[in-house]
Amino acid sequence: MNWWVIILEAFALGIFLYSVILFAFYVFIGIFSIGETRKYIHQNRVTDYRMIASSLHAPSVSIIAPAYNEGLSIVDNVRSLLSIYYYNLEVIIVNDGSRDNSLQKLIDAYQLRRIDFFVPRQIPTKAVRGIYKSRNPVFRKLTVVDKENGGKADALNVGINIAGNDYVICIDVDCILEQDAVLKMVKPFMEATGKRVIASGGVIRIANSSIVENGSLVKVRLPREYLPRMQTLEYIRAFLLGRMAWSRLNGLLLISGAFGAFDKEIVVQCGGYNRNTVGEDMELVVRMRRYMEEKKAPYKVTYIPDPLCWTEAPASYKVLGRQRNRWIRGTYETLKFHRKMFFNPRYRLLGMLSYPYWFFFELLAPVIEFLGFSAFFIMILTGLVDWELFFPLLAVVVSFNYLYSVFAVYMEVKTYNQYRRRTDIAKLLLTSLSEPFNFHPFVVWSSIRGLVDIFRNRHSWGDMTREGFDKKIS
Amino acid sequence: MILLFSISIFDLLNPGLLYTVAGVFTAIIVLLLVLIYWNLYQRKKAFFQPQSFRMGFELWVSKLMLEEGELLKVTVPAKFAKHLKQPHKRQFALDSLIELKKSVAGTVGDNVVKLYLKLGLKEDSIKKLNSPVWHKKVKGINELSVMKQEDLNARIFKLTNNRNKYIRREAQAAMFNFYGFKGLRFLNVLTHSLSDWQQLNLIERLRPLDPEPIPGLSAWIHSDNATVVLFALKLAEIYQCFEVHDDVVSCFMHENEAVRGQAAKTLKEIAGETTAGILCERYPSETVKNKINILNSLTVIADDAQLPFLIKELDNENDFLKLGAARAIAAGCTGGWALLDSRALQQPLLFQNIYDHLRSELKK
Repeated sequence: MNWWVIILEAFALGIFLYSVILFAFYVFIGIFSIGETRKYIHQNRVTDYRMIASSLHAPSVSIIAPAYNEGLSIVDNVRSLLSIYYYNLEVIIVNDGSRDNSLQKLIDAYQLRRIDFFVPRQIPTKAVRGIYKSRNPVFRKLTVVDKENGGKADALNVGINIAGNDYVICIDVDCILEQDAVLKMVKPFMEATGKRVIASGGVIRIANSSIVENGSLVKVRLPREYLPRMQTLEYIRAFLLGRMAWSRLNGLLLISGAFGAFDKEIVVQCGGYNRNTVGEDMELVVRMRRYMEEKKAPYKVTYIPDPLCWTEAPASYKVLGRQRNRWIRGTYETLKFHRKMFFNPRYRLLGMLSYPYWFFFELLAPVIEFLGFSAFFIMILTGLVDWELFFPLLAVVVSFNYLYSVFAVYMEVKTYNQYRRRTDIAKLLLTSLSEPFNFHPFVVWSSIRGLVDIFRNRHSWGDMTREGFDKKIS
Repeated sequence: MILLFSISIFDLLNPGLLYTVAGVFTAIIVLLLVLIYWNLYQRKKAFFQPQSFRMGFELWVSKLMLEEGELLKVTVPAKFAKHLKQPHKRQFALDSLIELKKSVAGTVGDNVVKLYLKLGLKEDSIKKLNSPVWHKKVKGINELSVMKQEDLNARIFKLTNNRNKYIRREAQAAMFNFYGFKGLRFLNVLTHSLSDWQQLNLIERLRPLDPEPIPGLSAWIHSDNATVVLFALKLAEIYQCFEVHDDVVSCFMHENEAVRGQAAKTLKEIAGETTAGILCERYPSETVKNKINILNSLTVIADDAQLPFLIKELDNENDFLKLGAARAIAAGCTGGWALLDSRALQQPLLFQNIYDHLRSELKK
């Protein structure tokens, strides 16, 4: 046996073991998520949210939505946020130095006037140019902040500095929240007794092709286009299975920047969002967890499976590629900042399981898959592939992939059942068939480009061009 | 991506075995597909088929509620009696009555309860109460509670300190539904936590009732259970229970930060002549969060006697405390605005901002 063969065998063995462990994780995640989702549904069967919504004594909540050049839709988006059903609510829109007429549109639509406002120095940020409140008491919940451009993290930090409430919910301004979203997000914080809930995430769903009227979602429809439909399936898998399982373990590292609730006191103590990463959402959660671990304070990061937030997914390969490029860079930067926790028993589950999982199976997965693909093609050319073994192994891998997707769809149907038409479910299932050959390789390729960008020192956010939701035609 | 070579590691993998594994996965996929479509079919069936039962039952119930006469003498129509033998339709009927009971009161509410008993649905609720499965037990308690089945109070009372928080929560709400303020007696024996969510639930349930003296409030403030103390302090704040002023002051010695913070909030509502002074005394040993609570209370109750203390706090490094002290000075002290104005002239960058902020906030 020569060295070349030994290296190849070691490589193949490594990839084989990696795949087996990854599959084992998926099986574990799938099974483990069932209990958490069932528990959540059962415990809320007799919960009367209406009573709490109008309560003067409910905890105060600030929704913070940064906006940059959102002039086209900002007025509708703010209207949607103002219609949320919760008494003790403040909606803070942070205009992050937009170059369009976003601010003027808000001033006109909501009768805003500039007020004197002392901004306490809690988290350092770029300068605030002005703070606006409405003359009209109907919009008393609204505060608009105009600031110098400093990026999403900086805008969120300004919102946190201004927020006068106990909890902050950070969202993307173009997200559509369900009417009861705040109520449901606040509940885990209020239910905690032994452990302090420091952050809570909610499920994000894809709203492409759904009908939106006055900033509210009036009809849920499965996306017509391939890419958003594929992402619908991907989100169901990630949120309904992955995050619920990690939440049960209390090992969640990521709460999506599009919709997450935080204990403001802990966020401030941790220094707010990090402005030096494109993955500020994940970085904040990891930093908050690390802070609590180092303080040895009992805490929990929770996730709720209710579909509470709807967003528009990229519909073109170009925009999707940029998004995935940014996601992998964010993951890399976050894991790099907190590398001290890697297999560090001081950080318990966070250091021994959550961090290593993210390192091996989120950050390294595209690299390993890419190497695998590359080696495979080289071996085809050199005639080293055993085709008799290739096809059965391919059958195992592909059937496992479909099994995981079908299981996710089953969980969706069994629980929240957002897509009620049988044809929609059939389309969703059929879409999954192409994933291993089309969507997944593209995502891997985008991630590889993201990793290359890191080493070329590119830190751009990347434009996320939106196409807009379907509007109801009256 | 798994690569395959004609080298040793994969000699161990038998293509037949791999095809079998793939076959098993495929079989599970098929099973899941069947379950998915079966589920969708069942949902559709549940929505359309019993539509006649649903609408008919609801119509019958609403007619019964509006009719005057002896409800107990009414016979259940045969078409419903047949349906009501099926568990899921019984549950539908039960859920309809529960929803109706929640939205009506008085005689109509009493009639709903009578109908619930007449249809034998209480037995269903009791069966759930007896279930070892926690969520069924919770549902059972909820149904009995909404239907005011007070004869089961002894059994439900025992559950108010159950180790399962959901059972505990529902049993506590039931006791409250049965007896109003007096139902809070479970607080005397509660050893488990009373979550903020449950506290808020109870407070909201109390709201429609006429305020009355709360028996045991003083004892709860001295409870060993910090969450009971917290809840008692909230009740004292909402119902302005001046008689527990000294008990509330004693909470400043409590080890729990939230209890001390709530004590500061409560004192704002039941303040006496000495309260502001007490808050100033406690202030230096408190956490920042509680200092903010104290300053918020002082905004309402401080007078000129607290001015030296508040002026000192204007130099605090923390902006929130600075702002809180300035607010209390402006709101409660003679010449407070003038004092802040002169400070703004001395340190315009910071205090002019604070001054303008407070002008905007307090003098709208």
